[in-house]
Amino acid sequence: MSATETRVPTFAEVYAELTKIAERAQTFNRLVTTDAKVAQTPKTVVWALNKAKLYRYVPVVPEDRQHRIPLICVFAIMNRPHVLDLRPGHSFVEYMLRRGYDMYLLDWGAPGPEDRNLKFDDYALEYLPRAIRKLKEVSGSETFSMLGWCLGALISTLYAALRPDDGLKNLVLLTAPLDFTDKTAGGFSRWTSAPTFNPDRIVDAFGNVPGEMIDYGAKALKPVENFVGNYLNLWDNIDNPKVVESWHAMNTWVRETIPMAGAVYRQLITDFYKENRLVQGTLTLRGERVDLARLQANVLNVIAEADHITPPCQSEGVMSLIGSQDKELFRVRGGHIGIMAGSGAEKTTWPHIEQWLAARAD
Amino acid sequence: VLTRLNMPTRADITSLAERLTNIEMRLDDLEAKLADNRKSARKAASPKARPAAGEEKQ
Repeated sequence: MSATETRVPTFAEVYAELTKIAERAQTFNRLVTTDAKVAQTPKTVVWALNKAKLYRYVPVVPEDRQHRIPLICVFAIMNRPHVLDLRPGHSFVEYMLRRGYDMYLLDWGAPGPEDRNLKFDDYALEYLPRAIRKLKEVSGSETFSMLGWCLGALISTLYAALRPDDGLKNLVLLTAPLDFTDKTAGGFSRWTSAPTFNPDRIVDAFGNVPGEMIDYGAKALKPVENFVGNYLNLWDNIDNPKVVESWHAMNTWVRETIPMAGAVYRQLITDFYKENRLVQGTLTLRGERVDLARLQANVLNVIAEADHITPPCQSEGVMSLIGSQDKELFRVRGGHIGIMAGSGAEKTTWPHIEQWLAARAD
Repeated sequence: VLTRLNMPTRADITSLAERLTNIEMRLDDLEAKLADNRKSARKAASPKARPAAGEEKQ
């Protein structure tokens, strides 16, 4: 037999290989069609209004070792906030609880047809202040820190600028879409700034914008990576339990889409993406002009360098407009979700946020 | 058709849900006021807030 000839596998070897492939296919099918257990850190509902809920996590360190100022997390309005508490051993909430923070999470819930008229005005000036009132009552602290992510960061910024005397001491912004000056930055900006893109037609047709539509839009920004690469990555690592567990939890979170209230979608596209009113200084909520110079809380603005949903320029431009004396821009290598939920988050983003807050939370 | 059958329409249900949210907001306002009152009462009852015995006599 020459060196170039390959050995013909035996029937038993072929059978074993096919069995292995079949088992992998079964695992693959299970992972893409079922939900993993997410958001398992113990918590209680301390406030609820309409679909919104404020959770308080059960503290894990004695009271005398806790930071004095509580922290409230405000996530985006078109996904569930579980990504902050993805799975035991890889949860931002769990990480902060272990370091002595009194943790709260605001879950906006899924809007129904009756919520189609909800706007940023309602989220920032009606729901959020009420949740914060309850947070103060429950925690016994008149001051608090807030962490906003994506549109949650936008809502947090609006609140912080309009209610600077409400007790907000520290504001952490994660991938905050605030400055839409550059209409060519990112797929969303390019799509929505086109004169032919009319949000009214979508809202008139659907009432609330379906979660599936938002999810498709986000995935279409990187179609090959999201529709092909994501699954190839799973297949290539299907024998690695660590990767599989992580993938399953993340896929569970991604699959759980929720609609966006029609009026807030219209406002987001028109007032922010198309007209850039926040940075222009022409944005008004309930008759009050939003002036970023009035924002006085300490600010940590975290930017994901490879963010295709909120490109860095949409977050960093506001640093000069914010009135705060203590403000820091922190750039992290990674994407929109990866910087907080990726495997490297625990070594880079979380420690930086924790240390920044620790210096300001007592 | 639904109206003729004496059944609520989608608009009826939506309107009812909106009214429920408004009621929830009023309840939340009331709860806030009660909490404020409790806080004020606690402050007034705390030893620091009480005037000293000598001051009371004056």
